[in-house]
Amino acid sequence: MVHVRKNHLDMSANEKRRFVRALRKVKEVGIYDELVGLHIRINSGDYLDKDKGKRWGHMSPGLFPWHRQYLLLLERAMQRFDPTVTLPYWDWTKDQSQDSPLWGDDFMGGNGRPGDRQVMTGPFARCNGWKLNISVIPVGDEHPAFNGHYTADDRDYLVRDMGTVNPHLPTAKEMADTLALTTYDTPPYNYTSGYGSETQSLRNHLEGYAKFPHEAELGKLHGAGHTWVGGHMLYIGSPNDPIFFMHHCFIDKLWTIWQQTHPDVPQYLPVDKHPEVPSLHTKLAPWYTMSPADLLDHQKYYRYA
Amino acid sequence: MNRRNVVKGMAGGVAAAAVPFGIIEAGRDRIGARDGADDTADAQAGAARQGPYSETYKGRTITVSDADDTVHIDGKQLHLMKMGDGAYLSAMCHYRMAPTPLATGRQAVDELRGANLLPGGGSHHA
Repeated sequence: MVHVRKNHLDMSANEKRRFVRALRKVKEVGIYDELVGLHIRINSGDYLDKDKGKRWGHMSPGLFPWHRQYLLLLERAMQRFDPTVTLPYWDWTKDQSQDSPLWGDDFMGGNGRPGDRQVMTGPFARCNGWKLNISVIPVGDEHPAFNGHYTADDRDYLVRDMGTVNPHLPTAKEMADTLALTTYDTPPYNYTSGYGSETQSLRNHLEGYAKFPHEAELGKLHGAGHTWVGGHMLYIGSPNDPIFFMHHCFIDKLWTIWQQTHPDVPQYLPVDKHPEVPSLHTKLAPWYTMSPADLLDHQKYYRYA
Repeated sequence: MNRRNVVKGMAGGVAAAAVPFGIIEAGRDRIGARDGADDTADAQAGAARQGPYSETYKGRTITVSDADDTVHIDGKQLHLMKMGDGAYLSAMCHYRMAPTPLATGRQAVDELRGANLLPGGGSHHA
């Protein structure tokens, strides 16, 4: 069966119910928390101020393929409980209101309450059974860089603080200007890609670490989705908030749009082996099963409506 | 190539990402201002020679050691990542850079809203 990912605004009430049910099931059996821990681990390693080793999925051309594989893991786990379920996406260029059905009690739940910013509504509220287990309990004596236990704080409830750290969700113009870029990524393949150069990196602009001269601040698109939602989406344990997956699903869709818009340029860079970032044929950690080349064509796995 | 060189070398460049961003409370010397990245870095370098810096912010004690780029909140270490000169991420603000370790500490206090960091998180300089 062909799995179709769509805008959550086009989901029926029944589809939303099944999506939430499958997500809570995946959480209940521990898979969701494993994925949260995995992201924290890889993310932490990617941001290490270190002399060697790779940046797999952040500040790296691996951003898109790595998260494609990561999202597929969650989607497939959910489909074991309900084969009809797919990940929906959140198009934040158009869907910017806190009154959107996105934040309804039957779907993602709403903003955090005044004061501690604890989410109190919807299926991912602590009072409705969504308890955070990862990044709240340190285990063992090993340095967290090696065991992933990047404990943040002692809250076991989801926190959202919409629009406080960053009042602006990404705009359609930011998206269009970025998708018009014709180079996938540029050396040094990190958060400074494109700085001081005429050639701009699609990846670095979409990730939010590069900007055009007419743009006021860094942190657009991918970055702005995280900072606008705030709370856990701002923290290292961001996948604790299920909106993470809908946010990255839209980033994934934008990658497909860019590919379709620019079919004649290299679809991934670097092609040749690189000491710090995955090349086209490097199998991605921590799974070592698929390379960016294997993940370039999303239609092998799902389609976007 | 470090970030400062990158920044200095890009005057007139296409991507005018000239200074760090995500300033928490601009205007305080040690936090750094939007157009004072280098001054901030210099101030931090000076502070390193003076030993750890400590302040009370919203009732919490923030301790910054520039020597090894560590930040503690009430004695608990904040997981900090140095991306370059004047560019820091922390466990409590992982998607927008702050210009100094102290700025990450103050934002962490803002985000914690009275909650506590737990032991186990550390810096990357193990």
